[in-house]
Amino acid sequence: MVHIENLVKRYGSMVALDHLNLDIREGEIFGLLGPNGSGKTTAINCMLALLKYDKGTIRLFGEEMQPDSYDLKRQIGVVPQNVAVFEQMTVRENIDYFCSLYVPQKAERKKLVEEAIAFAGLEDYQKMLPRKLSGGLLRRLNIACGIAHRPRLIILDEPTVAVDPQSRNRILEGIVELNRQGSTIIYTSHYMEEVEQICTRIVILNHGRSIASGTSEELKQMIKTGETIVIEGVDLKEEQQEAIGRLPHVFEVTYSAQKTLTVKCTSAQHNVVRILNYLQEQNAAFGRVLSELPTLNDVFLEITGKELRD
Amino acid sequence: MMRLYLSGLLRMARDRSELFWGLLFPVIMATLFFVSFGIGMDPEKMSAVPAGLVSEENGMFETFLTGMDEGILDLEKMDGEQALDALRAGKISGVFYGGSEPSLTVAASGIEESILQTLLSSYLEHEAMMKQIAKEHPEKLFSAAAQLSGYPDLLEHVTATGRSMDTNLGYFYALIGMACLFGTFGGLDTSVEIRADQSALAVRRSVAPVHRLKLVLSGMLANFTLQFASVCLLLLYLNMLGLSFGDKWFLLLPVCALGSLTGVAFGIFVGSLKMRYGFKVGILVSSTLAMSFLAGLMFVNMKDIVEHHAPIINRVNPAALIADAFYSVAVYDNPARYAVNLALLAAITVLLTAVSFLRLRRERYESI
Repeated sequence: MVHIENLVKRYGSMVALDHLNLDIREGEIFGLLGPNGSGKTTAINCMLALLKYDKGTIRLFGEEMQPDSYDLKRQIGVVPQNVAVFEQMTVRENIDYFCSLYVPQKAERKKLVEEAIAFAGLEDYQKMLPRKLSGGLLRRLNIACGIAHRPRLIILDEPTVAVDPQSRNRILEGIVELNRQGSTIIYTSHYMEEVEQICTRIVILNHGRSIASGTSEELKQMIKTGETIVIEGVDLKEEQQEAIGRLPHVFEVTYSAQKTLTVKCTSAQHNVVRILNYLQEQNAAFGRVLSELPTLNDVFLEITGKELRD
Repeated sequence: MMRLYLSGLLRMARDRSELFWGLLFPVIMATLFFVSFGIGMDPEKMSAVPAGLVSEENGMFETFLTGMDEGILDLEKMDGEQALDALRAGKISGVFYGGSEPSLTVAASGIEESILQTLLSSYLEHEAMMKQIAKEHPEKLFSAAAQLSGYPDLLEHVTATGRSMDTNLGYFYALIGMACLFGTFGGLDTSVEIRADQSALAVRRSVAPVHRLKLVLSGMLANFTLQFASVCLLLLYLNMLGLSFGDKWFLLLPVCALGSLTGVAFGIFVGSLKMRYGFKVGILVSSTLAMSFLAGLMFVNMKDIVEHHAPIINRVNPAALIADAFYSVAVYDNPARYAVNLALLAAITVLLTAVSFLRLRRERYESI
């Protein structure tokens, strides 16, 4: 559905997109994950023919996207990062206005507007002006304005920034529902939990380059860390720490001044049991034991050497 | 297109700041002008000021007053007691006392009393000169007094058509010019809502399957409609206050319409430039004020001074063109001059719109 090949975009001497390749298939919820400034929004703006780019090709629905590709534009819905609604129009008028840019027929539009209002849970706020809405409701209005015309492809650029947890969950559930109804979704975010929760396939961007892609599970399998075990309140001598490091599947041991032991293991069974058995043998007392599976942040950390949230 | 136009109109009609600057601010300014200059600006409605003259002799001051245009002063020679009785009864507005030290007695403060005071001040200001003329060229005293009595030009101008006008009308014509140009701010917002590198709203509109020209034209027309309606209301308000636009007032409507369109086009043009929004607002505020100033908003003779020293500015300044078109209809009754003003306004509008569209139709940006 979307094919991007060798896309290069420079802002002066800064390379914003560095030979980016993307293939997005119909029916996917495709996640573009990366820290701020990694090129997610730039990629979207190039895709939408808003930005000039230096090199590469972009094809949507098999055709090259141009500013006057109205037939293609009719099939796309965009939810920009910043809330983009008219302050002087009510919730309903805003949705109707943006829907009217795609659907001129009044009767059909009326039905679509009703559905969008219901979808975003804005029934009780239809006659309100945007300035009266909370941040979460504003975001929901922003989404409703972008999807009311039932597009085949929906591009959501960081739609949950500065949103309360309740609205965030509602938005994420809504996106999954839109996908179930047949829309292909491109979802950009720097919140790895969200991407992990809803996306069927993910590309991780860093400095304008795609550094990894696949499903959440595939991405996690790409890295060495299979499990991180944290044991609090444990008293260990240096030779005991070294002994833990020699246990099967353990590849990294750190011990902090707060007496917290962090052990990184490759993916294997019974890692926790083996470490706890060793501590019992050594008569070493310990507090809480936590076992964490790898996250996309671990993937990013292992590939780039820095945290995703940096 | 109609949908875009109507929704644009709805948004602007609900925008309080737009309504304030487009309608309320010119109305406030007009009110202040009337408070400053007084009601009854129409010289055709202004009658001569009745005044008494108490004087035993027939000196220079008496010559000056009697030489005054009858349309300005209705002077009657009286004795002292008779004059004061007439003043108390309200039959006259003031009593001039001749002699070596001319003076004036009034019973109230108002426009008529101010006119009498102005006449006295005018004479006293030139008294020394008159005395010198009487001493050196007594034969020229009468013509000098006649020249001095030409001072009421400050109060009255007579056009080639014989129609009189108050020079203060120029302030109101410049104000109407400024009101038309306030459409610039709506025009600016129209541009900003189209340039994807200027606002998120523009991003959303740019990715919709709607031609740019439709967006520009619908925004421009909606702005124009609101601005033109505001200026028409201003004219109505001015007329209610007593400002007459003459028999051919309907000829002023095309001036206001074209003026409003020029204002909107100027705003769209500035909005199409690549610079920060605040900077664009600064450009519009300063240029609108400068154009209104040059058209005579703050100093009524400014337009004439510009005409004398740099007439080209008056040909490209929309506020001056609007004001001059008003003069052409309401004062000079000069259809040719009226047509030239309209043609110049139209040319400026077409030029600004064409350049704006060429700039706004660039649909891919270097950065967003």
